[in-house]
Amino acid sequence: MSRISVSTRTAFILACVVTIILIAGSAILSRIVFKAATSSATVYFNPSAPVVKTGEVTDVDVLTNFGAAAELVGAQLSVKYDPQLLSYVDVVPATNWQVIKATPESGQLEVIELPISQTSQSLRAGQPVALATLRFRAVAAGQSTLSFDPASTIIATTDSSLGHSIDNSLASVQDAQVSTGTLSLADQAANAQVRLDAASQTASGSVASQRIAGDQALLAPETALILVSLQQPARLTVRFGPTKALSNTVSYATLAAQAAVKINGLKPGERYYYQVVAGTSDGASQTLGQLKSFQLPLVSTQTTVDHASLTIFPAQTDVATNAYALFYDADGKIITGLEPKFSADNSAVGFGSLSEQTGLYQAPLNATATSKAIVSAKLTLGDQELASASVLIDPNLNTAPSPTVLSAVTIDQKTINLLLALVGALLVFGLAFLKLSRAR
Amino acid sequence: MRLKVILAAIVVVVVVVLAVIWQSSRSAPTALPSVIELTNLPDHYCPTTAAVMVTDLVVTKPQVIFDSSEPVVSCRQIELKNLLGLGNTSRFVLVKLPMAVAFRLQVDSATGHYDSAPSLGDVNGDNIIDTVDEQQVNSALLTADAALIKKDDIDQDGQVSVLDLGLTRINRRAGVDRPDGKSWSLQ
Repeated sequence: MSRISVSTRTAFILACVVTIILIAGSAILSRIVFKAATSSATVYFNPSAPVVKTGEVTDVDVLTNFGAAAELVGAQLSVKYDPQLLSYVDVVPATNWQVIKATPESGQLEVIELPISQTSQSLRAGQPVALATLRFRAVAAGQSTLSFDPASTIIATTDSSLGHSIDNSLASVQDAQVSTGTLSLADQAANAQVRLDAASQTASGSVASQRIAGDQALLAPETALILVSLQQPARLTVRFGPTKALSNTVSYATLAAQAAVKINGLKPGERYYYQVVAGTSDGASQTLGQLKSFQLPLVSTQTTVDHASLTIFPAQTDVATNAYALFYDADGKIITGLEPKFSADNSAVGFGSLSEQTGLYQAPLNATATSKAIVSAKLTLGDQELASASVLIDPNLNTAPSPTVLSAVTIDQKTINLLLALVGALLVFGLAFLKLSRAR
Repeated sequence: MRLKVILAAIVVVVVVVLAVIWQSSRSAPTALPSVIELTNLPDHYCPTTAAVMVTDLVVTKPQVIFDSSEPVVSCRQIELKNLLGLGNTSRFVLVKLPMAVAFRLQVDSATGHYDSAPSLGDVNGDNIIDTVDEQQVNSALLTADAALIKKDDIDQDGQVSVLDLGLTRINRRAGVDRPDGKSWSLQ
């Protein structure tokens, strides 16, 4: 067997080259990872449906779960409960945490916590972390909702790579139903069964959390399309209205992990508030998204397009998804009455008939691909290409065991090109190295 | 043969690096000229004025060229055109914002763009973020007293919350002193 000998200088240069390529590659990949997973946190109770006899005390753990790794600086929990049924007893901090302030006032408990020894606690993505245990005494029989006030609850995180700032990473909260009264063992068993049905069990036996992984609003003059991605399938509702009272409701018909909820009949130029609510099928538990708002654009009187947007949702599909387009003039107003075209760079993908609803253009995207593929879709008007977007076609998507939601991943065509260039460069480098080794 | 491989490797590296730079420049927002851009600040934090000093580059006993309060444009920008003594000569610019410790950066041109991420948490205005600031914010947590909120609401979101308390903990540091030994007037 012949031995390959490489001089020290060559080896040094090769090591430098490989290092630089890996650094460049990791920089590119980190950009994608940051797009895919932001540090959105959900806060929830465990158990989600506790049962307690009148006069006895029940412990309810407060946990948080992050969509990405995070540095947790502190937590402010604003918990609402029915003071007619429950009486606050105590709050016990989780290990390595300290309670700075706890103020129970007429059905609302405010708790502020900080890490004990360090200024922050490093958390891994997807790992539930206990913050505190709340202790309540049942004072009367009935059912009380234990809920977080999303407007006052704060999960404070920091990102040292971005300087010295702090953000509220809270994206969603999940409430619990407390049953109080003179319950028999049979009642307790029945309620426990409800609890198990309401939330799936993890391998460790703890109750898994729901998370609103993302919600995005596509805005036309009279229509808002709320694109929602959840960690687990749920019954979706969007509460909305011109004030924070959220007087109106739109519900999604079926249990879904991803849904495009359309709100029609809105007034152009007006501001609306909305909140995404994900509920379990039996209504035992709800996850509330943050209160958000949008201002609808106005209808343009022009026909000259300044720029356009193309959104494909869900961005990962097995056979069918939808493409949405909006066209803007130079003032940001929506142009109606256009005849755009959707196309794809893969013959296995086709678009159905185009429809328009006051400036919101929509077409179904159907895929017949037999293997996994990333397809680039383009939006054109006349001969001009105005926008592009990528969609992952995966025929095995619905048979995959993991319910991981990837709709938040938006990889544009340039990034794909760059990744392909990087892979190609590595291939060329490998071939050159192989040739060198043979030449020696 | 070895030379060819090395050349090929160098070409590959150059292409990848150029691609990364191109991709980064495509997505980077356009930088405004002639300003110091205040970055990584809480959304609601909106200072209207900043105490600004311009000195020469001498570290010990620098000559003060400019010393005044300057408006903060759009909550995030200090315009360099207003600062006397800045031309194409390198200068130190010292900036003290409300609730933040003072920072210093070297400005080489009055037409350049400079970024800085101020450290917030100095609620008592002594140009140091320490346990005194933490205790002051701690005692005002969740208060409804408007005077206390004005004094201790660092991120200016309308309440003294765990976010304000966290800022006093992660930003423990001393700010840059004034060269004349006086206290910064803006708190």
